[in-house]
Amino acid sequence: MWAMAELGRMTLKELTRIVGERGVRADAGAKSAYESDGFMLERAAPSVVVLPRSTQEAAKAVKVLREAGLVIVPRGAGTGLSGGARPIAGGAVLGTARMREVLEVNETDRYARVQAGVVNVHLSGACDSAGLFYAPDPSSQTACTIGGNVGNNSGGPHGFRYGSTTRHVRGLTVVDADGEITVLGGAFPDPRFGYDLMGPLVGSEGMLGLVTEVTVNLLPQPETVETLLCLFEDLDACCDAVSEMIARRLEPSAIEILDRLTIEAVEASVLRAGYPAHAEAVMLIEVDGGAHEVAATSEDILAVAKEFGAFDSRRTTDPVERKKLWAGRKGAFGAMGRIAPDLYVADVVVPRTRLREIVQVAAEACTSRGLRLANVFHAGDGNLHPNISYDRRNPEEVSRVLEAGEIIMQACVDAGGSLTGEHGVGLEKQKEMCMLFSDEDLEAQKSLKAVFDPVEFWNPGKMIPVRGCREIHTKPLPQGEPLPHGEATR
Amino acid sequence: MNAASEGTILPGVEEELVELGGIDRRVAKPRTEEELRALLNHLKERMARGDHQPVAFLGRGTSMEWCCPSLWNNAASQNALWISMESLVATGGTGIVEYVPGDGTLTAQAGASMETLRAAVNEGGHRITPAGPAPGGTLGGLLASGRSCIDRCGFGPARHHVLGMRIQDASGRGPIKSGGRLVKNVTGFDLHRLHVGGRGTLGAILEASLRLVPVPEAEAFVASTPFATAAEATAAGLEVRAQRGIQPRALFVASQQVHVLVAGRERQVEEELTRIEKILTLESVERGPHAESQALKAARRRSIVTIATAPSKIRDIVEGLEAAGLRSVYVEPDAAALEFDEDSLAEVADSASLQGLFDPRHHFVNMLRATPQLEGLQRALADRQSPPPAVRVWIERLQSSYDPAGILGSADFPLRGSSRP
Repeated sequence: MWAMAELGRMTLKELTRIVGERGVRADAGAKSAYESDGFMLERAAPSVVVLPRSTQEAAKAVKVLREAGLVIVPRGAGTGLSGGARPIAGGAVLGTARMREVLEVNETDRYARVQAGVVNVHLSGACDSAGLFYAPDPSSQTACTIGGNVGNNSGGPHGFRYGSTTRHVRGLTVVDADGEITVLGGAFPDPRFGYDLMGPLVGSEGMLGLVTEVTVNLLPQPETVETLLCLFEDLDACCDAVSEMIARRLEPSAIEILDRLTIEAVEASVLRAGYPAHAEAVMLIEVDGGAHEVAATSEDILAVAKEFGAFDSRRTTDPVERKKLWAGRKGAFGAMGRIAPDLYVADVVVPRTRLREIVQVAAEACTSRGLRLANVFHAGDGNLHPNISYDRRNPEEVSRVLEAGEIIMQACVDAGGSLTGEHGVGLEKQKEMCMLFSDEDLEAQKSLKAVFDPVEFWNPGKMIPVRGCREIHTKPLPQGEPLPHGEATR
Repeated sequence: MNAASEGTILPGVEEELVELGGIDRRVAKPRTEEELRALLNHLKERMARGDHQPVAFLGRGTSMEWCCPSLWNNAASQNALWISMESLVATGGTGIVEYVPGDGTLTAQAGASMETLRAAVNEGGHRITPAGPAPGGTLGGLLASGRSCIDRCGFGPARHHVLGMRIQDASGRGPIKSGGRLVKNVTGFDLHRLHVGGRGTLGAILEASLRLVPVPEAEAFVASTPFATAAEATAAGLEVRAQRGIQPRALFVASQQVHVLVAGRERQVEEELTRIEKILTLESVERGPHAESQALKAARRRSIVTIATAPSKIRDIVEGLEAAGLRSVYVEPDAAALEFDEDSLAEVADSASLQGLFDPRHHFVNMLRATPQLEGLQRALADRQSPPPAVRVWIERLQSSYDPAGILGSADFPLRGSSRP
């Protein structure tokens, strides 16, 4: 089990020497910003926050923290939704907020090398003039970082066609628990490593090491991009239309759905996108490629939408119009702040043939508990984001939210789905790992953790349940017993 | 094929002598996952007693020269035990666990024949990527070899399409699951990625789930007239790659010709052909359902050396190889990969002329085996190409975790100098 040592004055002084005064935050006010990520139901303050400016500074800081007996939670922008980027109790948060440099954009070889703290949307901006783009585009892309995207193997709307982060990572610079720097891959695939070590490192939620630099694949900008908006009177029909588009093997680059409550929130906010308020569901689709490809695919998509009851549709290739339509989708989570003070954003995945069924389960789980549910999701990937509004000051409501969340997760797993599509397991879904994996599966995962981090130094206590699955399922804890982490608030 | 029931490694697990690659090989044929696990546990116990039995997993043997050349090619290794994964597929069965056309995903046993799987998903309007490379192989063999195919230009390497696996490692525990059957899923570590290209050295792939790609509405495969040199053809291939309006599914240079496969909606394919013709003088155009198979045929090769680099470096290296006397080179400009076979070396005097071409910062050279011309190069590169210290440690620990007794250890992989044999 990991140790939580106290932060000594000498350690603080040494850290300050390495990263400068602005790079060390040990006062309560500054540390409070690092108590949680997007999963705000649980909070814990770190002993110290360290913000290096380079790989070398990070490596030196790691050595000092290891020597001081402090574990490290790597953190990007903290936009994750699973509690993965916050400490359990004490330890250090090592943030990449000051590592924001795009180090290289190589137009010919189509890659970029960036520091881990580069904000996702800034990378796309940096390669735009070269006629290239970086495909993964999480909805939080104006804030989330490339390092955070690597940690969670993030996706985004265009993951439907282009895949999640793992498909776009060519190289990683990793600092290990000894403070040693290792460069994996780079401009070209490097078979020296034998095994595909970058495979498990991407999506490892900061549990295997600290990623400080990333080499990513860039793609040529498509010749034509068309955005379609289809309006439905019925959310079920909208879901069925998506399933049918997949079944007909149509290949847009993104298929997103927003339901009525989300539409209302967006339209009432500064991000107003012109979504008609009378629609029960909006399907936002993007098609890219050659002009003929786009035209033919768009026609087919609109035909399916109409067949499934779309009562109106729009299409545009105008960049300004397209941006406006997407602004509503990308800002949907922010807009929902109007509905309630807090938002529980679930992140689950189902086979794309079962969309309607799980959306109905989520609706029932919330309605029967008196909770307000809004849906905005990556329908093309089967990645649902049921958003439940609540007020964290009301503990009874919080418990109803968690109960609904668990029902949704179980329904997804029962339908052949999974616990998370792009935000990771973190603390939020740690216990639920047992819905999906056996004790032996989890032992194998622990073995992998031990390969890269034998001393449990990196983000300890996350993802893998502390107790075996059988124990969690069969042995309710006695009243008053202190709870192992990950089961603390359930 | 002879029954070898007497003196089997583990009573109850059938063995046969099977001629593969011109050598009679001892093949264990577990019928169930339990038998496979028992066999691995037995080998582990024997290893603990100091009785080392060379062992490797076997699909149909089509990629063995790539996966474990030392064991496969060495006549002295006739004592090796080859564990068939095909025998786990029920007699008369396809090995398909689940094919969901509406979701575009396939889950199949490792021993399933690729031809069978391709035919099954084709009926549902899908294709498996990678499209090759070797005909006649199994799904597990394809994934364990880690080899991609010409279609990586359009879809990326094989590992990007593996959604999850069931795996039997050699640690003694039961089969484990990693990933799932969904096109998007980040639950847990992606352990399965270690097995794609892992050559079976961390365990056996039992089942794998794949993301499929739709059969295109139209497809065309073109070959340019031959260029004077492969370097000139490579330059033309790079020009095709640079065109935003051409999205090749495959782009390669073979026999000094540039080959391009384009696919998609009918009008788009025709449009892209027109654009290609502005760059290349075409010798042949194949339209229709056989375009992909023609492309695979044109890309067929028996390479002994593969080189990875960046697109910006590829023309120089091809030029250098040709100047050194290399007769023929296969190039994928987009993947920045080049390969050559043994015959191409006929006019290369010695490897000294090749050694100066390679800089470990920009090229990685992998040799299937060293011919006399290549021995010097192999020695020179062994030191230059060794992995970083931390990587050696990680590899060592990976093998210790999933194969603690070292029964699956290979002399060929990971690469020499990177870990224990």
